[in-house]
Amino acid sequence: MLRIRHLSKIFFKGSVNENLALRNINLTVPHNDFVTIIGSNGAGKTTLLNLISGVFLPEKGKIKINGMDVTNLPAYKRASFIGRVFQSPLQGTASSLTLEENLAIAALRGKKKGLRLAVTRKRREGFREKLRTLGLGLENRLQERVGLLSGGQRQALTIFMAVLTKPELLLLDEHTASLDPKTAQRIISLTKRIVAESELTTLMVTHNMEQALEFGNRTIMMEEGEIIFDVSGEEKKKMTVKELLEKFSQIKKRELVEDKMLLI
Amino acid sequence: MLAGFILHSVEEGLLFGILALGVYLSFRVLNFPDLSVDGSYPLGAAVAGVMIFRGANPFLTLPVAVLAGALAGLLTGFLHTKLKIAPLLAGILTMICLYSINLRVMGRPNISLSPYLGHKTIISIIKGLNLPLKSIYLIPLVFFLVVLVLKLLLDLFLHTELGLAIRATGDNEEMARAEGINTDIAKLVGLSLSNGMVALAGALFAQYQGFADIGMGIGMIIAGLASVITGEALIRGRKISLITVEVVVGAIAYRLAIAAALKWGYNFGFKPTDLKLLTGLLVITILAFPVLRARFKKRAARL
Repeated sequence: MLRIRHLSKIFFKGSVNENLALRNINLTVPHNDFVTIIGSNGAGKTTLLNLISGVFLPEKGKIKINGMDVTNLPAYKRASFIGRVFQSPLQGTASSLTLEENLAIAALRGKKKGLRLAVTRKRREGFREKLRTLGLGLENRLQERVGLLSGGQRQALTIFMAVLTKPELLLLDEHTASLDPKTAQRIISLTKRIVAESELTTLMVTHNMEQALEFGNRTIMMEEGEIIFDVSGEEKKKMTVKELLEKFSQIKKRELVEDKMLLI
Repeated sequence: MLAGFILHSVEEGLLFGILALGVYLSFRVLNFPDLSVDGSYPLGAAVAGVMIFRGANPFLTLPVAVLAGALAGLLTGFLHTKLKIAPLLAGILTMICLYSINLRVMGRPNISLSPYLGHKTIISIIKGLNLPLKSIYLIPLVFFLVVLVLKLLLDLFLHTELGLAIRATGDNEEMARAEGINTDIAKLVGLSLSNGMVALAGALFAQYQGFADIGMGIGMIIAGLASVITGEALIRGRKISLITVEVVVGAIAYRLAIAAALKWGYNFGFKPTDLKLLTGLLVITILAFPVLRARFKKRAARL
């Protein structure tokens, strides 16, 4: 249901800093797939997500979600079928607004914003019920400012907001990268649970190779704007981090020296 | 005499509070440094001046002024969202254009509005009513009611879906877009509302002071910001309904500071031309107060 054809993106075209961030990406992701994306820094992982969600527009190529051509739609128009969780906990929520206000914004995604009261009693109760299932105690903090929450709590909230209106696609961009290991673990299990419950098509970018192999049914590896490796199903299940690294060196004929990628 | 002095400052402060609410909306809520306020304030005054001069119903000047201000806000918004001009510059450009537009509206640099010349202003109408309350109390009361209604409407608006979208745009624009908010529209709505309020303040102030003048707007954005910041320093509220109170209180405090500077500055050797310096110093003192108090507490604790 996500179909990407010949996608290319160039930054600073024509200048000294010209950067061919994505080269001729072709990717088809069927409904319900959970794809993990790994690659070294600058490989183009976040750029790919940015193009899918509309933050940038491509030079060439097409992006289709459920048959609909979204290639040139502005980000806010695509938002109704894309849920996104960013790397920084600060990016996905509005600090000066309360939890229920942030949730109201998420609930209104795709709908016209009129002069009705945003946080009605009914909505608040609905949020409270749903937040209870997270088990983080957030349901008791609905009227607090989001800025008071910890990074992990904000990420949990962001994930929750991302799937609130049942989008077609969930994009996770290294969303545990700025969290401490314990909180990251909690967020990761939360992610697992939510994806399983909502049957969403998910793309998860991660620097953590263990994570990449453990999660989802498919892993792709990107390098210098291209997809260089794509494994799924049984083969992916049997793959280890060591094998993945070897595969990478084989393809690129060079050693992978980045500590981050070996983080277990 | 002191009561009269305070009452007069409160009246001015309340009208200023309307301007301050507008500035709060653009600067704080929308996070947009909007300098077009210096142009939309005299625009409101110009519109009211011309209409009253021509004998129009003075109450009609208010919605017309709001509309004019809204258009000015839309211009700034258009320059920024569609022509991708930086917010600060967009506001300045609007302000510059409005200088000439205001002159055109009035036909001359200022318009005198005097009951002696037969001009009917809202103030003259209120004074003419034979109510049991004396007009020196009636006028501030009416102003207070107007500001109260506007404040409540603004509070309410910021809690609607559209208001929330505007707040989100000002807080975290990328998040807002990721949540499907058309941030361009949010900015246009916010800026037209903000400048509409500022123009309303101008229309009321022109009728209050008895003239509309082309130079009325100079430094208004600074006064508005000073009001907002002073208010925030005096009352530390987090809820919107308290913040809007802060803003108006700050405006009144600011006007009181100016009035006090004018009245007693002379005793300390200040000249009327030192007015801006004095008000600056007064605002600095108010802002420094919490910092100085904390330092003083620290010192006292160490002893």
